[in-house]
Amino acid sequence: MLGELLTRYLRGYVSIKISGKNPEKLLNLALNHGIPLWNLRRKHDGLEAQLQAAHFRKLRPLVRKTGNRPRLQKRGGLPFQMKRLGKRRGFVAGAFLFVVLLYTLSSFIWFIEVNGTVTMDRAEILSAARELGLKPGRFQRMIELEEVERGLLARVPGLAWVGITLSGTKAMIKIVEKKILLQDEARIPGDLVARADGLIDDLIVLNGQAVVVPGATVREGQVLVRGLKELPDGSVEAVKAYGIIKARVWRTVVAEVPLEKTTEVPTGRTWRLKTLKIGPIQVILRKGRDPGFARYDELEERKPFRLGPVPFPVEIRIVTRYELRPEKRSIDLEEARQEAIKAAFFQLGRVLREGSVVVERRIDVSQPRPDLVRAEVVVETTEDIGMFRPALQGTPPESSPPQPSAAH
Amino acid sequence: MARGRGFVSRWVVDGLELPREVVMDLPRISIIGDGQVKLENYRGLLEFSPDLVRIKLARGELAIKGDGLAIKSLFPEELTIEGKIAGLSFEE
Repeated sequence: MLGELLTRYLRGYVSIKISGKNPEKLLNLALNHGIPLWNLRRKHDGLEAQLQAAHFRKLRPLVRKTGNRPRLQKRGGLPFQMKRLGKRRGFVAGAFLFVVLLYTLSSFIWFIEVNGTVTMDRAEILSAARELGLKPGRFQRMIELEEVERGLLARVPGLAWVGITLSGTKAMIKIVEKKILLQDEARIPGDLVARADGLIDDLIVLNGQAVVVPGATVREGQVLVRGLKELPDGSVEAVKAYGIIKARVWRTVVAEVPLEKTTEVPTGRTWRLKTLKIGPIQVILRKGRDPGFARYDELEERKPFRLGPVPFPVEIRIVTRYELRPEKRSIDLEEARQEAIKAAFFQLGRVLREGSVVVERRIDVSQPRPDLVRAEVVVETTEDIGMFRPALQGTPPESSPPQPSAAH
Repeated sequence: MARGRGFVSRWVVDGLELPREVVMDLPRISIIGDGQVKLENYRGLLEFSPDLVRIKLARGELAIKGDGLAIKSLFPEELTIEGKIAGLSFEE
């Protein structure tokens, strides 16, 4: 159907009016001569029809034969439009100019974006790019992107990688900054102290002097390995203590679960508000009567309009409120126990560090109040409890008690 | 209308499951709602007015009654009529 309409339009068609008696005769003649007709309408003074412009010539002798008279009423379709357009030179020139302008303007760069800066200034990169020829108003083909990338790497210190992509009339400069490693960090002298209370199992000292022995009980913050090194000449140098100190650590976590809980459940009543946002202007599209829910959950949906990859400053916002009502729910003892234990283990997972090995665990469930269940989980783990604490700058660590210094 | 031919062709159609309208030269008519009638295998137009269209068939004629009838397309192989259709009837 669409193809047929398109063909009619492309080939051009004419509307005719056939007057006279018995136009059916003419229609049958047209049929027999293979002339397709369409949109036939009977009028009080004749018949209207449309046919292909080229067929009109063929129809003329048939019309005479039947004694009817055809009158051309309208011409339509591309061939006729072209003819008409030929007379409107200004319009054609304007349309042509528009296409040319659009094409030309879209082959320039109009926007430059810098992505990936963390500590660097975007303006610095932009100005460097400008010097290298990447600036708004430049013809895209005149810019060698790879050259600009290389140039930026050379010009701007601290860049690890630069990638430039063109998207329409926008150039996107993506950069990655160099991460400057503090080489001095390895040389900061300091001690290893205990991260938690525990019982020393085993210790491997790689640098420094051990202060504790296996079997010793240590408290949190106590020095385990001193950052000291004895030189062959008998003097002492401050170094960074380093080692693995395995210790047993006991940890207790407690979780409580009430037997009666108030939760909020949806009642099923909802309220919806649709707004259209055009730039800073908001228009309410549809709004039910506000039922004034006392408690509700709100869900906001945003549907921004896009024209291809270009975001448009128009968006539809749909706010839906779901009414909630409080519901008391009581759970039985067994369920509460399970939940309390689960909660306790969840907490434990946050307390334990990577590399901790649970050696033993004990779970105690009690009911301190009739409406409360408490789970207490005690775990014994072996883990590395050494934690580096830098010594205060300039003062080499003495064998005096550790000063409270900047915590790591 | 020869009786013998009708018998043979009916026998051929039933036996070989051929499309009836092709073998027996019958019109194929499709109607969409009360708004459109499409006709294949017709012979010509007998009468065309907004409330009645009469179409010549190989055998007899078809009358379409309705309101505001117009011929959407008049092609040698196919005829489409649009408008408010009230009824179709076959006449000898």
